[in-house]
Amino acid sequence: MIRVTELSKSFEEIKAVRSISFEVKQGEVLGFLGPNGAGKSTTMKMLTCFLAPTEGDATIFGKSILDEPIEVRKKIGYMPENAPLYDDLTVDEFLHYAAQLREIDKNKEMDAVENVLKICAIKEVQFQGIETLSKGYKRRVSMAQALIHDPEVLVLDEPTDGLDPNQKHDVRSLIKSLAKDKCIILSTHILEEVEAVCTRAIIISSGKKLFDGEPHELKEKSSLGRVDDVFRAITTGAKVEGVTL
Amino acid sequence: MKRQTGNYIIVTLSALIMVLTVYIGTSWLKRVKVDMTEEKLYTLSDGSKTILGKLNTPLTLKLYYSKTSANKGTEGLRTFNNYFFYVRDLLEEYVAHSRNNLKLEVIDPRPDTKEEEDATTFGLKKFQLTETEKYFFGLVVENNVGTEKVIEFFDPGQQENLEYDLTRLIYSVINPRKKKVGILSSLPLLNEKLTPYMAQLMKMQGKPTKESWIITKLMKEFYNVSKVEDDTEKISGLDILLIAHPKKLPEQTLWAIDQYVLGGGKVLLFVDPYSIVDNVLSRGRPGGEKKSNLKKLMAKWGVELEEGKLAGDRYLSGIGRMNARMQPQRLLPLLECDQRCTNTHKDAISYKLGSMTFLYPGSLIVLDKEQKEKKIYPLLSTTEKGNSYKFSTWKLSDPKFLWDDFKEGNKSVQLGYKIVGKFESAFPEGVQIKRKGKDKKEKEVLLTGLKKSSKETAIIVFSDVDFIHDQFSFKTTIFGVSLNNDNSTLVLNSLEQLSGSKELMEVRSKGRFNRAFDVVNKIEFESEATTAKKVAEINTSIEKFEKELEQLGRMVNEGNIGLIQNEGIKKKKELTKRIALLKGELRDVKRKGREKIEELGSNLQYLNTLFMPSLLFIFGIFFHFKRKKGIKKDS
Amino acid sequence: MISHSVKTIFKKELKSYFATPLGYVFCVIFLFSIGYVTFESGKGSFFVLRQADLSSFFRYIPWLFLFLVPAVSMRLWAEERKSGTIELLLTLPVTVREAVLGKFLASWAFIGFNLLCTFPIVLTVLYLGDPDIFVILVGYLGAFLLGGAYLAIGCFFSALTKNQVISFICTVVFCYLLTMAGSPPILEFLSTFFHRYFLNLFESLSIINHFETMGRGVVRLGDLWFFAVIILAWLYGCEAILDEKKAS
Repeated sequence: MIRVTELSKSFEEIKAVRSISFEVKQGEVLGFLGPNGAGKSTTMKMLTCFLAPTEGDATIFGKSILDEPIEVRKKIGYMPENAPLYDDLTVDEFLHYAAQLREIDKNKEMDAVENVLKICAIKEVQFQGIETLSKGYKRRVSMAQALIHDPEVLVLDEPTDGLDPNQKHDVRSLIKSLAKDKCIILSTHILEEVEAVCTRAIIISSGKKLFDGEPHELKEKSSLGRVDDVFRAITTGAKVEGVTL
Repeated sequence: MKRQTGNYIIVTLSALIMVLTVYIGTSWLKRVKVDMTEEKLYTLSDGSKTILGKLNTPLTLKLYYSKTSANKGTEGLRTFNNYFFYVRDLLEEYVAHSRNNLKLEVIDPRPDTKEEEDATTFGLKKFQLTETEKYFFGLVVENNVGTEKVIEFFDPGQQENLEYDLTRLIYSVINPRKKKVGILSSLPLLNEKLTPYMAQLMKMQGKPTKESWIITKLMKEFYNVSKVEDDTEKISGLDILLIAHPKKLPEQTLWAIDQYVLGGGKVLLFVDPYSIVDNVLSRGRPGGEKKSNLKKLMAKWGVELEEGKLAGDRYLSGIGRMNARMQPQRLLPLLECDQRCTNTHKDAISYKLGSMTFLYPGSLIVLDKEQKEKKIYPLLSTTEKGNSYKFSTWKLSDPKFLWDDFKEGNKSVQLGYKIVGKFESAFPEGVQIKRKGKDKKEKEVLLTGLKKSSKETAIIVFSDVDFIHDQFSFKTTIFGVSLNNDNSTLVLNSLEQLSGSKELMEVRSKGRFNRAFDVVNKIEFESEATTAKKVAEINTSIEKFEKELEQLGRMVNEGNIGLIQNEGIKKKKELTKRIALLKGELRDVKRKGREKIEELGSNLQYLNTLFMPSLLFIFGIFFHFKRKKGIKKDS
Repeated sequence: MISHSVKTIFKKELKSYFATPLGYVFCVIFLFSIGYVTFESGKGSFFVLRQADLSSFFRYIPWLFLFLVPAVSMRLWAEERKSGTIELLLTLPVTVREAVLGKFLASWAFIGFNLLCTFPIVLTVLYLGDPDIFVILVGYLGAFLLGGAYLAIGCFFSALTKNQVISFICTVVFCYLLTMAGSPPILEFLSTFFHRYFLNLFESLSIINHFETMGRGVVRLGDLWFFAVIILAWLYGCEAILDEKKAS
């Protein structure tokens, strides 16, 4: 259960996020939509306690990001944008490192690592240096790291960015299979992804929430059934043919 | 914008807090320390602490250091800056142990200020750094009645004696009286009757003068010097009794000395198994003993002069000649002591004295190993290769015999001791003496007195007396008398320590321990020994040749002169060849020794620069491949 | 303070020194140079001086550390920030303080390992003569603390910038200033701007003065305090900077 209340963030004079509020319940997959620079990543960074909000608060299963950042982080699995990883480690070393920092029991550590290796289908690169991996594998390793402690909340920043269609498909089905007992927030600017995996969508632009609803509602707004048009109309405020807001 | 200014303020403030924390913390906590040095560099010795504990008047320590000027000087002055910190830290130790009687002021005298004027008035040494900048680094100790004592300049090279110098300075401020020295001697050290005017007059008339020795004149600058007759029954009113070359002193004098010491009197004693000065001065009267001893008393003091023996050391022997006809050569009886003889003992009396000349010095030994009430400190000794040797007077003028007959030892021979503590009387039953009564008849009188020391005292003994004579310690030039070596310094240092308290005497030099490369020294010694053997071989060959030549010369007659000359030339050629060969070998030996050391040096250098890096390099490559392999195999 | 996370980060960071060539290259350069300057006549002249102590060795430690320690520290945070892994690290249940401490301790241990690798020089003096072993041990402690101080400064500058080169240069300059704080020319230069009392303050910051007293074999609480304050202050600064700037 994620509850975000009037969260804002400004860097110097620039307001990146302006008073955003929303909720995500267990079993929901929330798609975060918005053009580049809309404040998607910033919101996610605040949720994962990497950035402190300028105003507002958010609670994750009752723990506030302001007061108990460490508790919050324990509940979240986070996959940062571009999936940064330690290049000088092997996949195995890296996952163990993550598991240890997640304070997984020493005797359960092995199982946890094996488990995510299987889930994310990266068993075959287990002992390979991360540096040598392809982009697809790197995403999956990053995903594995986020899943290692079986978190209640999953925050994924553009999880399919830069993957080929097959890989995209794999990642999406992975997310779907995880969705049952978790809260998942994922950001993307690919609209069909929202339709494919999300149970809800939020569109933000220039730090403001502009739409909050189910993906099919979004589609219904266009008489032509084109989500792109709706997206453009919402984010730019321009009049687009066949779209009624 | 506001936020940024705020940040800057926070950063500046935190930096300031850090600097202040460092500054205050380091100056407050500086004194809490663990002194891990074997020399105990930052710890005062017990002697200093006792003297400080006895302080009962406030003293001001003014440490002058031209910090600002030094900073304008070169990077080289950092040594002085560092030494200044050390001096200051040590002085702070003094203040801490003084029960608030000492106050330390650190003064940085700037040009054209009152401080600078003061520094000059106090007589501190001044160095002109630039046109305007002057450099001072000295100490003034003042008490509240205006007595002041100074250390003109702190020399970083004298760091080892710093504590002694400081303690002595403080002591001398508390005890400013000029001390009394009495001289008891069989040699004419002091001629009281002769006024300088008379002496001048006699010199002008060409008469031989009997002036006091220069060492005595020097002593008179610092002490009240008087003569003690050698038949006296009682010695009193003296701070120090100087006994030089005591020969066959009558019982009553021994008694007087004994009682003087037991009463807390201090003694500086020079005994000598053979005094060359005595020999020269008594030339008119041949025979007679040239030795002196104080065996009976010294036995109670815990040391003994080895009877009939001299101390020798080939490695310290000086070059000279016994008479005008002789070639200058190494003479065993001429002992030239350098820092090898002094520094190991770490006593301020002898520490760092590097050139002292002794003639026919004797050997001192400690009698009783167990020292309950007294401590015996060695001051001066030969190197470890020194030894004592028996002598008889008629052999003394044959240097070659002495040299060849000498056997190298393995323990250094002691030439000087300092004894501090309490003693027992050599006359526990008192002494029977003959005394002339009023009726001019001799009467037997029994004198009794102290059986044990009433208070602690100190005695310094040296096993030579010749070294204090003018000829061996001073040189006379057209500019007047000047020091020839450290002989007189040794005497004056001894007197100075004796004139201080017992505690001052126990302030040790914070000497550097001998941390030479033993391994290298051993190689050098071995090489030297081989060299000496080769040199001896060469000399024997030359001798042999000369003898043969002489023999040939004796066989010469008119008939065979040509033949013999030829023979001589042939022999000479042979000899030259042989010497050249030996000299070659000599060079080889020397070179080999040197090469051995150089080789050791470069081996160690390789070990230290290449061993660990290559080991790590190999390990690095090994692990790298192992890792790679592991990765490949598993994938 | 040394929590589970600190230990984990410490282990991973320390391991990475030996998993990459960088650690070995550093070690080899350090060990070779210190051996070279210690022995080279005209520099340390160790063998020429024939004194069984390590003053020739310790005299050059500050100068070698001045360049080598920043090389170790420059990547600590700059690399994390550049590759973005800092986002990964600091969204794990790890506080900035733990991360700073873990990384710092790991590199400090690495410096310590380097110092340990100089043991042949200790064996050398033990073989050649009779050195004062306690003075040598205290000297090593001093060198280790000196390395720590440089490293803390390096951590700070590494957190300040994404660029390793800038981090390196800033660290060298700052360490140099702190090292030379007691040097007459620098004091004279400062005296043209500041009052005498300020100079005393400044001089008390001189790393080399504190290092040298330890080199003589005296452990003064003041010197330990100095190193502790320097290390903690700069690490605290590093933490503050990371808190403030980690996102940019």
